[in-house]
Amino acid sequence: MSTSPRSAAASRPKSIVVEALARVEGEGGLTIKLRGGKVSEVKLRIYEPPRFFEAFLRGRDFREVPDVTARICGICPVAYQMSSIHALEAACGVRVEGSLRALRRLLYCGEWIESHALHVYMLHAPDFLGYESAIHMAKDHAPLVHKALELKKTGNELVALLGGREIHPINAKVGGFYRAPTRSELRPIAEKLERALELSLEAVRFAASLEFPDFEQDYEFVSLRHPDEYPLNEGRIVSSRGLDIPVADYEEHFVEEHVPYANALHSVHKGQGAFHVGPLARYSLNFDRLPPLAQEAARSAGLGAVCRNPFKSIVVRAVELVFACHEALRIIDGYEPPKAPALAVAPRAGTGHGASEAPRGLLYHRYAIDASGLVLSAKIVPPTAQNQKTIENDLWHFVPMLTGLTKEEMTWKCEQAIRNYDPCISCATHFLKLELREE
Amino acid sequence: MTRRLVIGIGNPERGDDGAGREVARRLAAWSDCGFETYECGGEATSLMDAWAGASEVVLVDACRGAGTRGSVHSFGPEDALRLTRLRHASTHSLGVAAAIGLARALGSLPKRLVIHAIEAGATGDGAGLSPEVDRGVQEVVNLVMQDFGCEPCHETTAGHPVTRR
Repeated sequence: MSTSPRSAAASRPKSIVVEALARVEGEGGLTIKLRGGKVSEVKLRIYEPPRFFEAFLRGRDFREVPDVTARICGICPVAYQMSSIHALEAACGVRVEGSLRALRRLLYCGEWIESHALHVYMLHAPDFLGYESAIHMAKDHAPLVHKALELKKTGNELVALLGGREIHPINAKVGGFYRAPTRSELRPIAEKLERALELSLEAVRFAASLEFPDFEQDYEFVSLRHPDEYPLNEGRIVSSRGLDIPVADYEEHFVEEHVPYANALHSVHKGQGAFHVGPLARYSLNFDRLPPLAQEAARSAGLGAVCRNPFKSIVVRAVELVFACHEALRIIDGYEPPKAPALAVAPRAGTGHGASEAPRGLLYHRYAIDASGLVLSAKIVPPTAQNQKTIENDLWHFVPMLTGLTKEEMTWKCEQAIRNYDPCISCATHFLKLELREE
Repeated sequence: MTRRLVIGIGNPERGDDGAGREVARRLAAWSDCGFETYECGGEATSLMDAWAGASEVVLVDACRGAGTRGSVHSFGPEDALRLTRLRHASTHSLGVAAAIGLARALGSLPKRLVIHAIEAGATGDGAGLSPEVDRGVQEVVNLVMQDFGCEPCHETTAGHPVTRR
């Protein structure tokens, strides 16, 4: 990375305040304190008020849950729908297979495409190219922005086709869908996905051309892993340190802790500490599950089977774009409409667990329902809550690498380090204020 | 030929958030005014796609924090402060303000863009506008008709209002 060394006295920051960190979803702040040039405190402060979703799901009919949880996030509503649906079906003893399962996976591909295209080009690329925002970047890099918009539009259209609308979809339900598409309805989107696949391969080449700081961390990666598939909506929870558990055991191994300076809970792996969820974790634990085209794209971008540099998450997201377009095309190619758009699901008293891979990482849900299907309790652990401690840890290690930089340059780099995680603070509990202080 | 478009933004299932779309619906009934109407949720790529090729565009959306319930705020794309406030009223990360900013940078902003924001009240579950916002909607309908040189008259043909141009 460029470090433009300056004299120590001139460069040493005393305090840096960014009123609003853009290009993240949600409101929060970060304070970094330096003492004698060393980091003495890093606090990711989530001051967005608690949203109480888990509380107001209590007493609702289990069939209402996916439409409520879809409201948690405008960027990844499918993830919230899918994790809740899987958990509720587990509680009711129902398993959805065949075309309905494939359609869910297809819907999820749409969300990955729209979310990753947005983050790679519009939210993260400006950091690497030195622009305040995608709007500023657009003046000099119009072709990049056009590609981003085209990719995102294809993702939006896929979500709208299967979900009923592009934001907060309404067609997914416990047991399947309210309406399943016909083959001919899927055909036009396949043509657009072919083009999106080309654009995704271009996105990998673009991301690989960027400059990355030499910054690798020994993360414990955590993601889903499936016997045959790159993980989207199903699998066991595995980690790079040997964890391999069914989703139902999540809370035996991971715990959420209150910290006084954040309204979002911090997750830790019991006895291990911070862990890392998201594209880097998925990729590093499931490289062998990627289709050859995506593996080849990753290799030609200079990635190995494991990636520990969080700044290279932009490359990994682009590789996942290739996967999502490829997978969507595969599903459409083999699609046979289901006999019925949904299975009948009768409630029964019990508890169900569900986890799926939101674009930002593992998303865990647990619901207890009574015999009539009313929700007794709900627990939702979003990816950004799981990554908070890891983001703080990254900054502990990254800030000392920045000592030659001015206050403004340091601030910029710290914001970039946070955006490596594509954090969705709204999910975890909208601006991120960054404050850097020297004592 | 000049393509004129009215885009109504919002969610008709969330009370006053449906104000923009209700404007588009009422205007769609005026069949002879030489403009099209379009409804959407406000996502940036959909907006930019919708106004591609249109030279005159009217955007109507609900807003919060700009005045009393039902009050109408009209401005152009250059009004950065109000656009910022408009952004804050959106639930989407890439919404109306981003669409305008990107389109301006990419040179695809319509030649003429007018934004009408209607101050929302309740935006809870369920369709239906509050009486104040309903009056705001009609005010915007009248403003657009006036702006496009269409005057509604009181006669109707086959259930549609007839316009005088």
